[in-house]
Amino acid sequence: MRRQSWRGLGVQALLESERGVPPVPTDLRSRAVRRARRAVVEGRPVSIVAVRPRRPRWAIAAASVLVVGALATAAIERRPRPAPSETVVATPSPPALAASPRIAAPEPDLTSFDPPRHLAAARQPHRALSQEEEYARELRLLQPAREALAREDFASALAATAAHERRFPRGQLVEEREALRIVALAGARRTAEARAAAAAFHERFPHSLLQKRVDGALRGLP
Amino acid sequence: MTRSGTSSQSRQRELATEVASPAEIVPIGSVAVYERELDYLCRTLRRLGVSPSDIEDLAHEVFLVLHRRWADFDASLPLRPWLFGIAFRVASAYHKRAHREVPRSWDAWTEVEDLGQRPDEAAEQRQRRALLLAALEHVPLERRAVLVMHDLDDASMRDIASALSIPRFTAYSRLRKARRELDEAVHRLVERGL
Repeated sequence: MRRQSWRGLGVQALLESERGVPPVPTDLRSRAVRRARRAVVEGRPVSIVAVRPRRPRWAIAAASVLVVGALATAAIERRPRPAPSETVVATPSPPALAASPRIAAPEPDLTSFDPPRHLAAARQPHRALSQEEEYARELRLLQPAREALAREDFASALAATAAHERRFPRGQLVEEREALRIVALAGARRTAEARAAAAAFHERFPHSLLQKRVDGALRGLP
Repeated sequence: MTRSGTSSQSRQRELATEVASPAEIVPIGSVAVYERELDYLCRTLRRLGVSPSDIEDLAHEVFLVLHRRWADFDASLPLRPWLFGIAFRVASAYHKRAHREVPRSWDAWTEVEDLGQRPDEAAEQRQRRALLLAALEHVPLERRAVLVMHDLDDASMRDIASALSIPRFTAYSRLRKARRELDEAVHRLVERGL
């Protein structure tokens, strides 16, 4: 009797059977990721800070529960992102997208970080959208750096951050790029350069959420 | 009912490693995090009673909040409890929003999730999970959240209390009650023959 055996096993056994996270079906995954990317692109290159609504009580409470919450709060006040987001505050923000229906067919291919080509073409007359494309392109350039770091291919990671720097010296993801570069330099044991870059990073982004990652990368260097 | 501390701690370490993995990688955006944690988020929503047919939409709602709050995230803390906190609030709003039908059967998604196992194992596993999720439906959401975080995600009480914005004592109390309620629900369902 299976039911009896379940009973015998008890609730703990049932919980064990639910442990772990099965992968979602690939079609759901690709739809969900496409939709998220589209929300970011269409919702404009949202500086998270610029469109961030008032912090709700739960967020404040969470911050107060944890002393380290102060870190995050400090970080919120800064994010010296370049200006495009400032002009964006009044534009559709992610919450507005929440109510939007599922994407109607035909969908553009958003499986890469490229903006949808036919949409981009259609939007060309609207100059305001160029920032969205830039954001998507910046992401696309930095993604290989992350992937290279994941496989500890530091040379490729550095090549990717250099490519981003050439193309977007003052881009919206400069902070992320610099952090990636420092991690890659540290991984490649280029100690002096890593330390110098980290010092510059701390000076330039004194409240960065990525400081701990940067410091962590330097730890253990000779 | 209580797992051994060592096992819990080691699971927690594994989870932390998995979440932060590779630890040195810098997150560059909300989409990347969402993509990486999509399986976890969808499963969490399911555990919080979201109907399989609504999971895709609710996951997107979670993403929109995650995207807005990405700057709030303290990178020194584990990511998943923070994500759970968002999923919990989205799921709470979903339950309050409208009258909804609580599904009692599994859809195509649950069929897919067991791919890779032997057919007989998959069937039994599925039945167990179905029983557990059905029983979880009988545990009020605020207590279910604590139980799911603690007993399935192996989150620490500190992280649970923080993610749900409740005092730690309250979290312990909810866990105790939730376990009792789950136990009773499982036995009721088994008695009824599910």
